[in-house]
Amino acid sequence: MSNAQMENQQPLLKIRGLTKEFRQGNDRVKAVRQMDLDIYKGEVFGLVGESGCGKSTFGQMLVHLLDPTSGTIRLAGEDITRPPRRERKDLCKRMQIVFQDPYSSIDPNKTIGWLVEEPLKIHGIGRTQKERDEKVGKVLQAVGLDDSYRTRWPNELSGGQRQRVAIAIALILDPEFVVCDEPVSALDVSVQAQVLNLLLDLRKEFGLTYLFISHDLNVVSYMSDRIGVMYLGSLVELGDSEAISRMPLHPYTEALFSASMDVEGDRERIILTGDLPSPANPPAGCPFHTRCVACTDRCKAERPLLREFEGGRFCACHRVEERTGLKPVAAPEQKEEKTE
Amino acid sequence: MRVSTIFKKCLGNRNFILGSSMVGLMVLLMVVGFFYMPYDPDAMDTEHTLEFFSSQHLLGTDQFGRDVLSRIMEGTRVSFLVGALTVVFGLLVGGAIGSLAGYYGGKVDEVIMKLIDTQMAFPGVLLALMLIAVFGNSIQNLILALGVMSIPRFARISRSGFIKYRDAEFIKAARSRGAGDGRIIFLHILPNIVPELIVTSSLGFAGAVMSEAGLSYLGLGIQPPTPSFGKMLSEAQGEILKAGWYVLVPALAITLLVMGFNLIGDALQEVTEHGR
Repeated sequence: MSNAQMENQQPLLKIRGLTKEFRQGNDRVKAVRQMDLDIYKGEVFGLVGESGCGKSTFGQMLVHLLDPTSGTIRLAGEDITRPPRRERKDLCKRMQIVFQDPYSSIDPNKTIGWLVEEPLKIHGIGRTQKERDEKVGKVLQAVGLDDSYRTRWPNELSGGQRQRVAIAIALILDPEFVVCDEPVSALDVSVQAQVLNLLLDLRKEFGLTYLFISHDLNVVSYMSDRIGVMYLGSLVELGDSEAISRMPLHPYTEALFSASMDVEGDRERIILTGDLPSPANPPAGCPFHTRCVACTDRCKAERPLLREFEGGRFCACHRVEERTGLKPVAAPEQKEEKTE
Repeated sequence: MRVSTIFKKCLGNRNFILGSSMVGLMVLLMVVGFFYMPYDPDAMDTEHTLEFFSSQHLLGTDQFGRDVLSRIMEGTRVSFLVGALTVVFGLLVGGAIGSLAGYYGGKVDEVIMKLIDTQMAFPGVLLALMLIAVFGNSIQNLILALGVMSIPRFARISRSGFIKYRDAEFIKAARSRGAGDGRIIFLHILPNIVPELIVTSSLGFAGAVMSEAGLSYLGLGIQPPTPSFGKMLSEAQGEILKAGWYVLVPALAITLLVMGFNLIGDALQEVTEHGR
């Protein structure tokens, strides 16, 4: 989907200033800080970052498994940040999630047919058993499982089959938006491609919008129209999937691509040193400065904001201009966040 | 793990086979007793007291000339009744309390667990003695006392089960589909902790049979002339020098039941844990 197309559209999801703090003893840990993001109808938005950077927390806030500390989420213009109980249940029909590990995200004590049918029962969809059975059959077929799976138990299924079941369960309510939280990371490499292609096919068939969360840059760039790169709870880069993989703006993105680069790549390999700093005690200034190859004194003192650059790209780095020659589109918003 | 798989695995477990045949023998005695007993268990016969095993009296007679086999057959009813009702009581009350504590956590959990800990500080038999002293000596009160004693055990097991599963990924998944607390508790968590609850029930049953025998031996609980293993043991005690075998019969009956249920419990524990 091109930028021009997206500008004409209202975003399906409009997320502003979304923050999640967890209490850890007396400390407050910001797992997600001040995320601003628009997700457009029909796109696959890829969210990439190391484990512990808050990407799963972000995804779970969208489907109301976690309550945000502050910020707003709008779905097609309607505020759904803290819905009352009743609406929360109705929202499940519109937004669903597929989890990472299909071995733990499926109740081991129920047959596949029971599990896929359950959402229909919860929401009172389908008056008769026959009606519900038909729906179950259809969605199983859509994910590539035949009717014989209905009576089978989860422990008789392989990882890939289980993930197909999880996808079927998410799709049976006919949602508009699906959070895919690392849906293939727990699967064998040989099965990953099958499940990814299935997800892409289903997007067309059901008109879905995905938030695709992963730590695997190859997977994300294969799947996504746009990519957001997260580091320590905030976005450091955002833009077209193709543009980002051609020329990453942020040194962190660069390092990520370099790490997952094929052997024939001609760029020099950048190896990150050190660990992800603890979100309980984030470094002052730019959160990435402790591991950055291009760190300056300014980076240690001042936290860079997400600024827009030519070509509809966003990056939170002080040194984009001097490193890449891209010019910022407008002056950065004066919304400096205090660094604790 | 599903119940059918557990059952299949049990059949290959030596402890389970041994335990269930012990319990099976006692069940058989009880069931046959409903239809046929060699003698009236309360009929005295002063001509034949303290007789050794014979073809007339397979397990001999007691000091009043009553047929011991018939009394054992009737005694199994008391043991099974007390054991079963105690387990049901503990399972319902303890299970419910533990589930609430485990599922909701926080303050609810703290308050409930403090109460449970307080109750556990009392020795079980002392508590039963106290209840019987206050409310009177009857089988209902005995079951109530033993039931109350078994609450902590069930509460702890179901609490830990609920804590284990309440944040499980498949519970989160169910929640994201709109499932309410009731559906999650009864349809998603409870079936997963059934194996643990069965194990606890089995051990609880053995404990209840043991405690009932102990209290009846002390003259609390089951009142004569209703036969109970504990009561028979205390009656036999006086005749131990004249007829040592008479002590062995009720003792063996208690052993078979308690050991049988303990073996079944152990076997189930083994089977369900290895399977995970």
